[in-house]
Amino acid sequence: MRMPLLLFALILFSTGCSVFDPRKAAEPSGASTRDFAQYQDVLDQIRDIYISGKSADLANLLDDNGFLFEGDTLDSLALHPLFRTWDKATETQVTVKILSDSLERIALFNVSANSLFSSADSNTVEWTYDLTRRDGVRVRGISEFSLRRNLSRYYLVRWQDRHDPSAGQEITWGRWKMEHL
Amino acid sequence: MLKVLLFCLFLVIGNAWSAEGTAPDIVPPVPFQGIAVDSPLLDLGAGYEQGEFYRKYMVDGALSRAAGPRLLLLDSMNLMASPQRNTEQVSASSRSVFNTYYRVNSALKAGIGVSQTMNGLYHSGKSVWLSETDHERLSLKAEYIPLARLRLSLNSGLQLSGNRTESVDLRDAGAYSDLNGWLSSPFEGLKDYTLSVSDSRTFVRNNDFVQGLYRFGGVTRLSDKSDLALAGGYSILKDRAYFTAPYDKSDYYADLNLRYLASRAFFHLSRNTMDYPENSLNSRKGFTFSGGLNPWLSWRKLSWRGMLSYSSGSSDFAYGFPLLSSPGPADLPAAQLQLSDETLQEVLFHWRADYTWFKGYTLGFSRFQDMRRYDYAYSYFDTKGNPVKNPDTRDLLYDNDTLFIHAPARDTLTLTLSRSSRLLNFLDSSRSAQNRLGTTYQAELSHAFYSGQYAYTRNSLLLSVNEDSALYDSIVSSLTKKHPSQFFRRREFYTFTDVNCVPFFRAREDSVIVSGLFGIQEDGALVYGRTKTFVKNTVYDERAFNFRLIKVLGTLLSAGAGMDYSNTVAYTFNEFPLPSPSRGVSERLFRALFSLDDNFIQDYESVNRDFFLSLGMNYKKSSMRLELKDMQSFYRNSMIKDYLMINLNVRTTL
Repeated sequence: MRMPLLLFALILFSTGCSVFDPRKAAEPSGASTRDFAQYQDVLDQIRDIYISGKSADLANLLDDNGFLFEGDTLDSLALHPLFRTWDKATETQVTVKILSDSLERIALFNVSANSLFSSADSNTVEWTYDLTRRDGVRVRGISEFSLRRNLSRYYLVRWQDRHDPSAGQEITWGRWKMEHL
Repeated sequence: MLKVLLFCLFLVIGNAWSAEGTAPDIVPPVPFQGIAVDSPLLDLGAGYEQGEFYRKYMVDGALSRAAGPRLLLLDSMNLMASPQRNTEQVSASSRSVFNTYYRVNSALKAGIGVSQTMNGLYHSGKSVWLSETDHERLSLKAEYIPLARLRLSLNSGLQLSGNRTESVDLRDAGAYSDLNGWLSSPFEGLKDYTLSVSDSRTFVRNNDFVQGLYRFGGVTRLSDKSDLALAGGYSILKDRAYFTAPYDKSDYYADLNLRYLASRAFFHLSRNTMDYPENSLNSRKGFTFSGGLNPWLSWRKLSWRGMLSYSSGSSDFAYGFPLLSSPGPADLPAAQLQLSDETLQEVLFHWRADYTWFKGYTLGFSRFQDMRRYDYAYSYFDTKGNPVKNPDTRDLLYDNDTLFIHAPARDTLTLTLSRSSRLLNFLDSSRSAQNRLGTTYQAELSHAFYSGQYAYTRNSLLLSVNEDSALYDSIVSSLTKKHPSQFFRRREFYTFTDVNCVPFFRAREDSVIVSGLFGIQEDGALVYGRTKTFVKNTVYDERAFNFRLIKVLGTLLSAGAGMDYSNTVAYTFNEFPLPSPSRGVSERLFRALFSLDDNFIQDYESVNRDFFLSLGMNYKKSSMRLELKDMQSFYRNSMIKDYLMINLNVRTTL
């Protein structure tokens, strides 16, 4: 008696009623959009988000399972001892919080990019950044981005931020985020 | 509704299957922390570490000794200083504890002590603390263990705390208490249940702190074949430290785990909140529910194991604010945060069947399905009346079928064939141009050869092809001028050998390991027509080589050395090939083998090279460990990383 029930349930789950079929998507709007087929697309989008303030676009770039932001130990020690690293949900929240103040958006975005590692499906890129916010505050440091391709799309898996030894007293990107935790 | 019915159906069936027994999962209680150890000890250690951006110096020591028949001394000290390279900042911490205990009777110990802890960031150029926090304590302590199932400890007293910056020097006084308790159930029917409590409180201005962990759980034996595990807990953390934004964090959870032989049903419920009293806009809460089944079935040579689970989770940002459909300027920051309020529903379904075949050959098949829905339900209208929403609402469907055959000998041959697909489906029109369906087919043949006397070697050959198509191909191709479908093909050979017959490296703990990887991956467009055509545009040549030598001489000496090398060369298609440059033998061979004509030009070469050396020595109660690592990376012929990492640790116990 149980075996037919089991088989019936298996058939339902595997093929039968398509309970978990995806919802129908809206037709693309035709607006220009990046397809993230290149890892540079992800980094370009991060730059655009911090300039335009469209923080809702960030979640789409971060890996659903394992995204990790890692701040500099010294920033964490000075400001937020318990929060040096955080996950996608916190990163999204912090970015929304930062960019909801239009004065904190980036007016001048200067980045020197350096590829640290490159293989068929993953890339690591280092940005030495010097950002100037609309309120005049400068943000300087070094960020290391690890990007991984899942099928034809790249996602940001890890964002490590640290002090630039050649910088002065400017805050880092990580410190800027920690101030909004 | 239907999925709930199906879920219940599986719950009923799952309990009815029978198999041999396994122990249930139990959530562990908080470990009991006593206040003193009885064994005499003198332990001294020192360490040095150099990373790419810092150096770190560490010294620590601990002393525990009897000063009479009932008197015990327990002192310890840790110092750490870490200068950041190329700046004048130094992070430093220290901890010193001096305690004396009196053993009143076999169950009760009482003691007094003083302690000091400090950590901060120092600017050596200006000779000031950029930030520094220290705590000094005068303590009264007691530990009471009247029964094996009841343990209590209390540590309380007076506390002085200081907080310093360049311009501020604050010093405050107050009290603190740490309470630890552990009780296991005295009742026969609930004999594996424990209640554990850990509660720390500090009442000092600018340093108020509360941390509590309260857990209860255990296992009830229902019969010889079944049991029920229950666990629940609550934790709270309230921090009002001077350098930290004040916050309150809390977590609740409950677990239920029902086992009947090897089949299980499980439920998990948890809720967490993070509140910022000074800025409730940052507050966040999350909720997770999951439940599922692990049925197990065995009949003659066939075994079947399944897993079905359903999870539902949500994270709400700025949850103390009402959700408004038309927020004014004052409510706009909260509305923008709430735009990221996310719910996730996930169903996981996995089963695997194994059949032991002729003469022990095993034939197996597994199916895995992961179905997720990410929803962003909240939206609002801005001041101009335009709708604002999060466009990331999406479905993610992943499934995998794998067939494998294991040969039964010590020299194992395994063939694995698998198919996976992944569908990413954004619902919003601003995202749906990115919707894609990818399918991967993979075949792997691996062989392991065991010879305890000579070598252990494992080799595998992998072929993987992936076809990935945009669901709205015409729009993507017109926008990006790219082909809507892409194709990836990877061929890989991996080898690993542990040689046991090299003179001086023949002991069981010694190793001589050589491993290597050669992979070629080709990416390009897939053009659909009468036949599918692969238009190759990038080729990656990946090579890696690792070598390890490990020598162990009893407990006295362990030494290891090795190197890791990896090299990736990328070639891209160029419509207008450059005049053929002079090429080495290796590149000419590679091009001939993988049909790369002059249209493919070398785009970049990426090289990583690490050398490492480790040395560990133990002599009587002293030990020393040294690790050296030299790392170099090159990209497009320029060096982008070159540094030496050193880690030295010396320790002695008297």
